[in-house]
Amino acid sequence: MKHNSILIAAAAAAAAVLVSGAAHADDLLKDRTIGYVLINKAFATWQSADGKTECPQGFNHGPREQFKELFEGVTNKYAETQLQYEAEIHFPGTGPEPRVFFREAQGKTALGLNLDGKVGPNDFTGPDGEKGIDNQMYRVVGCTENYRGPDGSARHFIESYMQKFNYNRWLFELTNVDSLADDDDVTVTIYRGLDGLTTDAAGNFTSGGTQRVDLNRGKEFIYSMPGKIKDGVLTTAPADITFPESQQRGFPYQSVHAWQARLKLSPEGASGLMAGYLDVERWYHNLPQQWSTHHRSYGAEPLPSQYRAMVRLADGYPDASGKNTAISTAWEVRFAQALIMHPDAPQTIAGKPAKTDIAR
Amino acid sequence: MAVFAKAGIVKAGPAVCLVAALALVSCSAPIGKDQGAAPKVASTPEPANDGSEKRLRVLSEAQYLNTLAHVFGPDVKTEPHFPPAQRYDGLLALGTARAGVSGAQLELYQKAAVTVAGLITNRERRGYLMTCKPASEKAADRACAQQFLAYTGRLLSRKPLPQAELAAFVETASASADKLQDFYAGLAIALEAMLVSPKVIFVAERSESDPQHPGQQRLDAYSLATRLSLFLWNAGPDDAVLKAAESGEILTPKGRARVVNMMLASPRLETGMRAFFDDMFAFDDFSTLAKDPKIYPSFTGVTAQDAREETLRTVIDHLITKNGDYRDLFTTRDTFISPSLAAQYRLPAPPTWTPYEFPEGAPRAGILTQISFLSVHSHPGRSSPTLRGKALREILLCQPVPPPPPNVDFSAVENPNSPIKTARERINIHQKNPACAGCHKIMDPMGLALENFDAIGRYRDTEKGAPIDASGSLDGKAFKDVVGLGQVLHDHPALTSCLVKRAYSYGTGGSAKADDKDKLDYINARFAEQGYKLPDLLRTITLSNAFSRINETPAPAATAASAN
Amino acid sequence: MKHLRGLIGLVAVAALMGGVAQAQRIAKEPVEDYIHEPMPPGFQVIIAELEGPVFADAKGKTLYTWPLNAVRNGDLGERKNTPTCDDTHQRVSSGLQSPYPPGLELPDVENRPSCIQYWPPVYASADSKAVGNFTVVDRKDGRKQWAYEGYALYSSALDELPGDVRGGTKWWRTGGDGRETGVLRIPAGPPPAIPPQFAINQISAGRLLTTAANDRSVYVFDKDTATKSNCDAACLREWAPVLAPEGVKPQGEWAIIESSPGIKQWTFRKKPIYTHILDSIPHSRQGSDVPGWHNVFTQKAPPAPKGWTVHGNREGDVLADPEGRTVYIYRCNDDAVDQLACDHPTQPQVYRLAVCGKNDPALCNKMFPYVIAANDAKSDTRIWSVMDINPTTGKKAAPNDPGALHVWAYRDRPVYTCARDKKPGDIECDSWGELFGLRNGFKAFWVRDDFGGYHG
Repeated sequence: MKHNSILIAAAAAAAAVLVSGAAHADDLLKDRTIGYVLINKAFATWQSADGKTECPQGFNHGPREQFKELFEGVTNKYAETQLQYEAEIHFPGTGPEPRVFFREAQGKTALGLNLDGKVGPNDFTGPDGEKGIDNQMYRVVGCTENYRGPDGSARHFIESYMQKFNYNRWLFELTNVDSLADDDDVTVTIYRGLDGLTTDAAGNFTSGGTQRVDLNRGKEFIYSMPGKIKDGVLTTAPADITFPESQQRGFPYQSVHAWQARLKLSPEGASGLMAGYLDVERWYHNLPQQWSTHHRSYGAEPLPSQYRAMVRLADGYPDASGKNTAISTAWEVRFAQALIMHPDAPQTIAGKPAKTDIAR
Repeated sequence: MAVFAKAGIVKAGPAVCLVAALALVSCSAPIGKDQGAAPKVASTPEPANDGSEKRLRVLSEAQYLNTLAHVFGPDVKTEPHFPPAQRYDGLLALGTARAGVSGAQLELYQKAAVTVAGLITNRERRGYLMTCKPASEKAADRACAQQFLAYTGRLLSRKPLPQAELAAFVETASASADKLQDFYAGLAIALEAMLVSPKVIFVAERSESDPQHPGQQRLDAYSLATRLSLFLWNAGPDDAVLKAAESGEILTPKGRARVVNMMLASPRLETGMRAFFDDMFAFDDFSTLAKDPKIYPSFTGVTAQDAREETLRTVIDHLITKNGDYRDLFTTRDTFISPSLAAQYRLPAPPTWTPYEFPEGAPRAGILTQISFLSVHSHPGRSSPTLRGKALREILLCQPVPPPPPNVDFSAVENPNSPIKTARERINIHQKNPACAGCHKIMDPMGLALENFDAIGRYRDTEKGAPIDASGSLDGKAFKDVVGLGQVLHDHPALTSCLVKRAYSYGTGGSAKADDKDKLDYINARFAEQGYKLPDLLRTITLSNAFSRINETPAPAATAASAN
Repeated sequence: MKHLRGLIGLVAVAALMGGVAQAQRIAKEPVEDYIHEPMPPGFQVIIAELEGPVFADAKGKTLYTWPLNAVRNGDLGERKNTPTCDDTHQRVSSGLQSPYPPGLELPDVENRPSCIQYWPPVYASADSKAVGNFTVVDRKDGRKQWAYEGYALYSSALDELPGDVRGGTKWWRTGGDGRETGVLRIPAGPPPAIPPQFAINQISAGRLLTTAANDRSVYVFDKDTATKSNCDAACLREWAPVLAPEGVKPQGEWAIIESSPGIKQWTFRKKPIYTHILDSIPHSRQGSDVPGWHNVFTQKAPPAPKGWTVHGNREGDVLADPEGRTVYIYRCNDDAVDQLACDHPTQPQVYRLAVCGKNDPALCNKMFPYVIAANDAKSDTRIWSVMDINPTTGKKAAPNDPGALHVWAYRDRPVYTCARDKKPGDIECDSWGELFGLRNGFKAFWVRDDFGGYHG
């Protein structure tokens, strides 16, 4: 009988908890390991109540408005208007745009992390007073409705697809953990998962679900780095990573240099910020590939102007010519605790029992 | 019984146990004392008996749909939402003999029939489901209509249609076809009529003289075939079984044994036994199960569905796939988990049903410790030892518990600010009151043993900080925890005799009565001899004279059904 | 006169036979069986290489319909019984494909064909009578036209030989709808000869069999025979027999077996069929990863050119040239009310040039190079071919054009690779263009997708 049942190691761990009676039923840290799955993610855009602090000139004009500004009274030819705009979207220049105006987020307040360890002249101050915040991407997207909360269209769709399209399932597992309150040496491993998110009776994403790691097509999304936990807050050492971000239409990953996270941990979840230097070309070209100009017009997002802003504001990883290729960016993120399964072999061999799972 | 679960009717005041004298006797008498031990004989013979009664009952929704799916294909679907039967003597199946079909219900049947008839005769399906083609699609074709209606009529009404009835359906089909200038539309109308005919919707058993036992009656071949199919497969007999009836083979001992063995070997037995255990375990309560989302946010509709499925899978796997001992269901650590259940058990599980064995020493052993029983016999916001104890007495041991007196004071139990921390302490109030003790003595010990599981079946060591004491005794046998309760239950004679009683009643379509005692003793004896295996029990019942002989005592007044 | 007509008829038949014979010769695998419906005189069914059985006229030209569908700001295409494709030369964009306004003067407007020049209607004569599902509908110009299931029928100016289905395809119906692709013409064909429990999913690899109710793939098992299922208890934990009705009449390639007592299971082409319980997405290929198990196709697509490869990535598998460079298809459907295609090398190239290289052919050829074919490269099929292209104009090259490139094409349109791809499996240019590359842009040639994305 035993050979037919899986999860032996997990069962042993469960037995240890249950039989000993010492562990509280809520203790989700087992064998010095705990897993989390991403359930919320959006650009960390600090917003004043009416938007006027950071966007004194209002919000950006999108494709519809720019079309009028660029072409009304100039030409009525399809090839010189629509196709021209599309060509510019796909091959954006960096020169001036005389007939349109792009609004960058203003002010010195932003959410994010201090990525370079310095307090520079372009850095922001966090709402709680933390200095040296690196988040130039905030200037790029902060006044574009598509990215502003609570219901910017792109902001909504990126998160919604993250939640519902399993390709985007993103996990991290903490190992070598002695305490979720303080531990100066833990290991953080990131994976792409295979399973849907777990919901509770009210439809909210919740903890306690299972996530199988994808060791097949998700191999390239696996990264490992050291972390520290102090006063219940996890900080991870910077690492270059990629992560899935697809709205089901291809070009499905982002590339971040010196990615790091600062997350308040609990047995049920983790929340806080993740940040790093987002690759400009990759992120930009992802935009028309994931969503058409039509969708960009929902939230008035002008792609060619936005590209110019990204290039102008890029602040990291210069190429051979000295031009920065990455831009400091921060996301607000929330995770729910999950039981991470590591299949050591395919589980679907006909005629053979499912393999024992090494659940940690 | 429902009265007991709801606090709404409580009046303040002293509790008075207004229980019928008979009930008082049953409350105070120790249970199980009069149950005979299983005789240790190699093969007990069936005692002479005159069988069971002829039944008239309504086909259940599941039986109707299972039959349609097998006859016309799993894609010929309808959702009729027939009203549920009433539970009678522990089984919904027995309630079908007490049901009528009202005008409103007939409308539901008719709506379903229209959908099904349309699907069967549509362009995509007719080529596969019909073996003939009309000479012209725009007119009647009696020969082809007759061929198809004879075929469907036989399978739907569970015997070949008498010539006059078949002719009437053919006439309906042909007249309609000519009027509508559409052969298939005409055929659909006849099919619709067939699908709502009493011959299909009602199961009316017929008896005939038993040539082997002059003066006695037996089920005729088709009634026997139907009784077997509904019992073992929860559907009408298929072509193979009907053939055995048509040839008379099913009426011979060897023939009946062959048919029964075939049905027991079929995967369709799982469907039949799921339906039986779902009924016996009163799992229809799941369709109204709701938990307070503020107290138990993790318990969703999916959790409830999966909890039901977990237990049914465990039962089927243990009793059929592994041909295991029924009693071991109450001690086994084997189960199946799904992702939503895994979240409750705090285990990982991939997105499918995965066999799982709880580790030795874990407090989960036996189906009583699965989320199903624990959650369905609890309140929306807290566990209830009394509800659980009562359910287990009635469901597993077939021992009805009398209803509570009308003016019970629940205040002590319901007080959220009570200094009393655990359910055990709260319920001990019952023990102090002689009017209540009699009945609570037979319910609470079992329920209190399960207090380590909250209202959604999650394990806990303490209640409001106080440790939970799960010890107790059941009919004189002590246990110290829920695993011990499982063992005591395993050894309890009423556990197996209750299954026998339920299976016999379910299979024969009526409650076991006092004068069925000899039959039940026989079946119990065989069950024990064969190691308490379900397929053997089913074989014993279906091959018995009790199953196929019909006694001619007049039917009780209330069973005749009418459509009004 | 009669002789001449007879002669023409013979020539047509010979061409037809040649085309059909070629299709059948190429397909060493079985082809899809279909329901034989009554057809108007001269109409026929041809088995196309990718799309399976399609209707064709007497000359072997594939017949298409143009059913109404939604674009972002309205509906285009034709309602039943109402053909609208006429001889109007549209001059401006419709503005129905958001967010751009209507009334923009179309590219190369003076040379833009009319709808019926691209899509010759299948005219009926005044005394044509309806046959089966074919009816006769009235056109606004007073003529009559054949329709199938109410939708007017057209042939495509792009089709040359019998079996060509270049005007439209059943494939791209599966991914995206009119709101993204624009409203496309679809080849018309007889229903597949499959029981109603099943459906066909057109994918790049062929015509995949699934269950109709919930689009689950069906599979067959090497160890089974025509009369016996060898899927034992452990196997049945992962594979569910597809159940058949009690008295089903076996026909064509379909039969039933009693795989266990009381259980009737469908067989197709003499193999019992199952669904895979562990499949996590509709029309999945995951079950085929299990040794001994295979997806079921009523008809497999012809293979890619010799030496071409398939590579995996984070989402699925894509087709690549022999060097491992991912192959892309370019698709275009313009914004006028008649929705003419703009992705064929005989059609205006300005749409493609805008998105592939900002109107600069040199940049286009650098970003999206053609897939060069060897001088003696040959294709065994019609759907894959080699052609000569002028890389500056993007059009088919003149016979002695010295700058012409000899390139591979799919459905008579060149295919491309992408300079941004660095390693096999890369899809950096997938969904590049307008409306995620579905209306004017590039899509990777997906062979398999394990996550249910929009990859047809």
